[in-house]
Amino acid sequence: MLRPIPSVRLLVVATVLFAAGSLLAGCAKKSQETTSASSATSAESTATPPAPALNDANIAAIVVAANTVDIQNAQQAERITKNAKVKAFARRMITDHTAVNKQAADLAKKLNLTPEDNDTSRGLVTGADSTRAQIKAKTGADFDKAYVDNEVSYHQAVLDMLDKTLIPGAQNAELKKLLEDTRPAIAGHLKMAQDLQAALSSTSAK
Amino acid sequence: MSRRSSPEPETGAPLGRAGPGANRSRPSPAWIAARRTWAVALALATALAAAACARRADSPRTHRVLIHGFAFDPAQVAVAAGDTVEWVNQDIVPHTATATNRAWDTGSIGPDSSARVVIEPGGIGPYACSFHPQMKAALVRR
Repeated sequence: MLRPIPSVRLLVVATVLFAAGSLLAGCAKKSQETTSASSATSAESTATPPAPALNDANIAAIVVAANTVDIQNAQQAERITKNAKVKAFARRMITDHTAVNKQAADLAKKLNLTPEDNDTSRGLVTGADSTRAQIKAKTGADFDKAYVDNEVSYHQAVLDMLDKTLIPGAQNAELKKLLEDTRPAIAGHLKMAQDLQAALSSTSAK
Repeated sequence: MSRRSSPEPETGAPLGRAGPGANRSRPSPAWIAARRTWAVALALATALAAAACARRADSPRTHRVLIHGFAFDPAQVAVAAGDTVEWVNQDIVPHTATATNRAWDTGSIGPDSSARVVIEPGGIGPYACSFHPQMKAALVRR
């Protein structure tokens, strides 16, 4: 039957596209679409390889030991402190480090990796035992300060160990990823411990 | 032209698939067909654009915020009252999204879990993770 001649059709299509396009462009200005752009925080990896070669089983044992130490420090603090902020911080350490340990245990099981104790993991535990005893000997604000000061230095030490030894040393990709995912948690805890440290020193100064 | 009972567009072209032979008084059939195509196409374009505009400006939207690396991503989301915000926790520890003015609170969001909140007018503003207060973000008005 009768149809518009091709040139007319072409013109129609072009005009429609233009009209729709300009209308859309007009209202697009009003709306700001938010797209979630992921900005990954990357650990700065240093070129120096770990001095004593650690295998993945050793690394798994270190992760478990490091988390367990912080949980035990927090359990003692939660039990003893009278300061609400310190208690809340301790509770958070218990929750978060328990979550990390669970993921480490799940991954170890999945990979058939039995954590293997080594000098580093043993050193963490024995060092922490004596530190915890020293903190326990204190009372009141002195106890809070000793606990929180130790949390600052401990998280800093764990962060350094992750960056210098554990992340570069991990062979299995999933273990490496778990360590990389743990890093922001440790860095976040360090920040919280530092903030709490500052809050405690400003209250004690008054 | 007198009033007609049929709801015919003002092009005067017959409705439906009736051939141009039905009304072959003045303009050429090709011209009529071309005008019809024009009218339909323009109406369609306007309707499409209007619909897209309306959806963008008025109807509630859902926004997704990722939680990873102890941060909200994106840190700022433009919302309108009635919009839904979904937080997806990709970290290995639990987090919350909690309005600074306490208008809303997701409660604990475990690793690999998510939570949704419909934002009411009083809920647009800064928020943080109540577990890790250094994790700050904001909902702003769109």
